[in-house]
Amino acid sequence: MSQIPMKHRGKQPRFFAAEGVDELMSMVLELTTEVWVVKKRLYLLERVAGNQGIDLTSGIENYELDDKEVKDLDALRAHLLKRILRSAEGTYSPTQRVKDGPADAGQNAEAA
Amino acid sequence: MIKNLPHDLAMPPHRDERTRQEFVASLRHHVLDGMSISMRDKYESTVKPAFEKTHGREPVDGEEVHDAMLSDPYFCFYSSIRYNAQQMVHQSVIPLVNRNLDAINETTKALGNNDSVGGQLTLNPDVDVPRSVSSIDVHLTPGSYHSEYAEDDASTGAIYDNSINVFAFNQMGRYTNDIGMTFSNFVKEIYPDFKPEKILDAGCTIGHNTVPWAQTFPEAEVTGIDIAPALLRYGSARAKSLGAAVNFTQMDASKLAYEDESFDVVFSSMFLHELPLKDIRKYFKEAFRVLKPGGLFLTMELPPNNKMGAYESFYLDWDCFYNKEPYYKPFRDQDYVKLCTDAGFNEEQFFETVLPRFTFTPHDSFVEQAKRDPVFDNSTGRFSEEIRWYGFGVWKDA
Repeated sequence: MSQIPMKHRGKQPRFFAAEGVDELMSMVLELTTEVWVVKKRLYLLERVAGNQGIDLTSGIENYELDDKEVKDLDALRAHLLKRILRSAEGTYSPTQRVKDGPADAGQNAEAA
Repeated sequence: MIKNLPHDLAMPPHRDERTRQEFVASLRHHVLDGMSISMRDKYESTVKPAFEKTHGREPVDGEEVHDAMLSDPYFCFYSSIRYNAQQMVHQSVIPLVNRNLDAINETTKALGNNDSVGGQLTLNPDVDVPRSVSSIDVHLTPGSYHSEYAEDDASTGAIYDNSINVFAFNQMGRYTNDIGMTFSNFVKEIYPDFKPEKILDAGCTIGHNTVPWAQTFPEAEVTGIDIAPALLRYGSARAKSLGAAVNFTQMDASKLAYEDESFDVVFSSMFLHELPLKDIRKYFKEAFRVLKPGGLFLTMELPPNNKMGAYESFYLDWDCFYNKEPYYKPFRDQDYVKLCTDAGFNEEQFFETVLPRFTFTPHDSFVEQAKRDPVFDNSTGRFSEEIRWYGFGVWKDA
């Protein structure tokens, strides 16, 4: 028994004049799909836990992060951004851009 | 929300698979019911005035609109998202079918062996798969519709059924059968003295629009034909699971192996636009031949370009350029009356209709609207929450 293929045969149309934008669109849409999959799973996680007597929803809302956790998460977020935006490095200055974000995000990004 | 298929061949997906399916359905709804409206506004406010400035006139047809839209960024985003969404429909169901292939084929076989419902499956390995199917992954379906992946395989049927369930974003009814329901009930309500005994559905795929004919005319013998054996195996099992007696036969619509004057109705839906023009002409001649005098040749299709405005023609022909449906526009460019008269039908017996969706419309309102003269506008054949189906028919002289 052979596997059913996942990709259609033949030429892919190109909708954008600039090289790579069509591929980028596919990536964005796939990424958005997976973001929604995770969001829905988290929603369900809270509901299932609630049904078993664990109130994750208010637990999450009321959870107080300590200083170390704040720093660790800032670093993880900055690292994530750096990874996602790495292809654009050199086209703008990250240190200027992070002024709009959390005050220490840029520093932690360097540390990460 | 995407529900499980409403019959015994349903293979419930994992939670994340179902979430992906729902996301893709939402994405299609966003593009077809949201972005399509904005794109029309963009055309009217920007693209069309620019064209008029350059040419001193409006675009005259869909091709000129298409050429003008190609450089518009909104059209590029619309097309890119729609193209990706179409691929993602298949990608949201193929892993599920791959994983359940043995179970799908076993269930198909078991249902097929159930003789209590009625309806025969007749496969004929001598039927050639036309190049228009074998060489093109129609609708961007990986492997197209004729492929088989195991012995007595039904997997392309399962892919089709699960895909259309996502593709339709609930706009074709719970059984994705609204086209069949609409046109069989159109015949029943508008021609109450016509009592068909034998009904043929050409290019029936999994019979989702064939089963309604058996339900609307329970006294009639209903047969669906297609060239793809896996679709027919699945379709036959699906019909039995739904309690509908329908014959499924492997046959090429352009070479009908039936005697002259043997059917009261020859129907097809969303079929002609996938055929090369030469096969359409052969099918029309065959339909004329196998119809009894006084019989009805009825076609549900996309409306012809000669009845639509330039923008609507462009909008509907999108699939021809970007959805691996190369015969779509050549068909829509035809004069449908002439196709019928070339095959032997009488022009005076020709009619057109534009119908509201039967399963979404109160019965009295459906009948009242079905009696009206056809109206060709932005909702005719444009897949959306407001879609109205187009069809044409011609009675064979009695």
